[in-house]
Amino acid sequence: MKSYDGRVNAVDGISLDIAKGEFVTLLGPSGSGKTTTLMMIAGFEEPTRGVIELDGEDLTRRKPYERNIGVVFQNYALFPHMTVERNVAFPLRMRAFPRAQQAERVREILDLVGLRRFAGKQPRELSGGQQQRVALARGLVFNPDVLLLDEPLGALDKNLREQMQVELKRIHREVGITMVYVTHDQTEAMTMSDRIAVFSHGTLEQAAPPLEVYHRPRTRFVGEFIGDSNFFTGRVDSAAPGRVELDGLGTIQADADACQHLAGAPADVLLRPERLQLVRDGATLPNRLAVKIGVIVNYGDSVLIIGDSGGHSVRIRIAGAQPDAVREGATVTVGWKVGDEHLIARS
Amino acid sequence: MAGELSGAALRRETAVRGASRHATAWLLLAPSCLALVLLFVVPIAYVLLLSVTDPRLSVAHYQRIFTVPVYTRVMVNTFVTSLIVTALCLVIGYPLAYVMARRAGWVSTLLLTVVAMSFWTGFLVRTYAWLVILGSKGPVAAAYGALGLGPAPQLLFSTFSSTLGMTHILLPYMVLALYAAMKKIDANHLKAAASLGARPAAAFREVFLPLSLPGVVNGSLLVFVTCLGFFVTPVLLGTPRDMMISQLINQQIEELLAFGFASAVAVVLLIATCAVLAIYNHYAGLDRLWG
Repeated sequence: MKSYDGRVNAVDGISLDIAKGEFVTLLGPSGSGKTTTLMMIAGFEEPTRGVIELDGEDLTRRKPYERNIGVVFQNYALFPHMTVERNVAFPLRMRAFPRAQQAERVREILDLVGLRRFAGKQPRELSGGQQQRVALARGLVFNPDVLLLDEPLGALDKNLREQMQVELKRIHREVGITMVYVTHDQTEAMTMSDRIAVFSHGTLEQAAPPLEVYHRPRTRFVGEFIGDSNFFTGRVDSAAPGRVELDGLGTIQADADACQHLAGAPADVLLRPERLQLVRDGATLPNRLAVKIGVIVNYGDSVLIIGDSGGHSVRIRIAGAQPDAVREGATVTVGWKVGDEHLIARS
Repeated sequence: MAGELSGAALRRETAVRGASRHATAWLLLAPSCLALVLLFVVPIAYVLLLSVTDPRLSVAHYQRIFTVPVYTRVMVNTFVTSLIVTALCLVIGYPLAYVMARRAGWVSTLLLTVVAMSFWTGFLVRTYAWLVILGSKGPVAAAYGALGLGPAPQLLFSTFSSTLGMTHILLPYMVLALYAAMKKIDANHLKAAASLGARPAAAFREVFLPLSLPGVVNGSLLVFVTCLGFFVTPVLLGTPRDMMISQLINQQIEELLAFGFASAVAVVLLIATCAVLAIYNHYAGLDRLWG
């Protein structure tokens, strides 16, 4: 378990508890402090204030080589003058493991990442994906308490990246190690994590499971950073439960419980594009908007419609093929159910 | 528009254009080629010729070099001195380059400036500086007097002063070669080593040192080869006992007008230098010498 509370110019007032065996992703745009946070956990940056604890032990002033934390760097940082085998055995040599056990353990871990037959190769003879796996094996071989990964898939092309995501999840399950993963790619964060910690401007905006972060973002930043979104500003009606007055778009019906503690307050209203439906005659959706279609982006398996409603840009995603009524320039009516929206208090 | 240009015509067209491109390239190369031939190839060929023809056609000069003890000693001394100077430059230069490459900010900038300045200051100027520093009225002698240690020992015109001077003059070559190699070492390699459990000493021994070896080899080669042909500094600071090859050549020409023998010695020096470079080329590749 690790609790963490650092304060540097780059990061401020971050508090995060990570459970043993958890896969936590630090997600944020570049310069948001996620890498700084990772480097503080690794011991390469020292927090000016705050503590980093591991299993109840204070790590804050401990040197990186005294921490038993593995790190996988973005550019792999494999030692170019050593073979794959010697790279992977490096942490064992540094810990003076008995020789026989070293070879055994290296074989075991190379099997885990599927690189056994590359043991004698030099790192430069391997492809990017293979180098990545060597780095992973090297970071795991000494059974660290935590494995930190700093945008490890950033340099790989899209297909390989998806393969490695699956591979990483498999390894995480098999080894059961705590992993802290840094990325700016929200898809990666969504597909791999047990929990996502969203960073912005050096502060932690929200730490929650992926679906919670997606459907119930705590701040507007999180809602906009993760996934596609429509944000409207409005004010929750204090008199009628569940009524929200949207600026320039009229009144909508929202979840009464969610409105309760926001009564009378200004709010940001999030509507995910896939929650909006094209309204056909006779449909009974309480909330409706007339949208003039501007641009249609056809993805094959879905259609993204970017339109305009009362001067607000509206994004609608429809699964399946493009319906006949959807043409650029046409006006359609979209609707959504009560509870499809998510309200965020605006300060 | 161009109609049906036949394959043959097209090929001819390309061939003509290709030829004229070659001609232009050669034209651009001509001045430097001419200079090289006139100022380098011809004189070297002349030296080679002299070494076996002056005063008559024979290889007697070469026999003398390798059989007369005085000359053999000069050869051996030149190599030994070059090795010592190279080793000293390495020992002094490595920590210096390490600090320059690894420390950010003003320390690194200051050191780099100092090294670059001494790199650009002429050999002769720096050699004369040592004459002043180590001379009988210089600061070293004054320090001895001030500390009441009696008269300073004879420092100038000794193996010591000559080795010191050459080391000082060649040090920037070593430092800059080392610095270039060390600057290229990815800081993440050292971070990775630390995260994998390597204490600083182990990280240095296992990761930094091996990765800096190209710089060590380059710097050593530059210093060693330059030192083989060193002339000014050993002449001004050294003793005739520690004569280097270049001094021998100079003496043979200036004092004895023995052009044939001097040429033979020069050829031996040239072959020795080429041999060192050939060994380097075999193991590392000459194209890597300048980074």
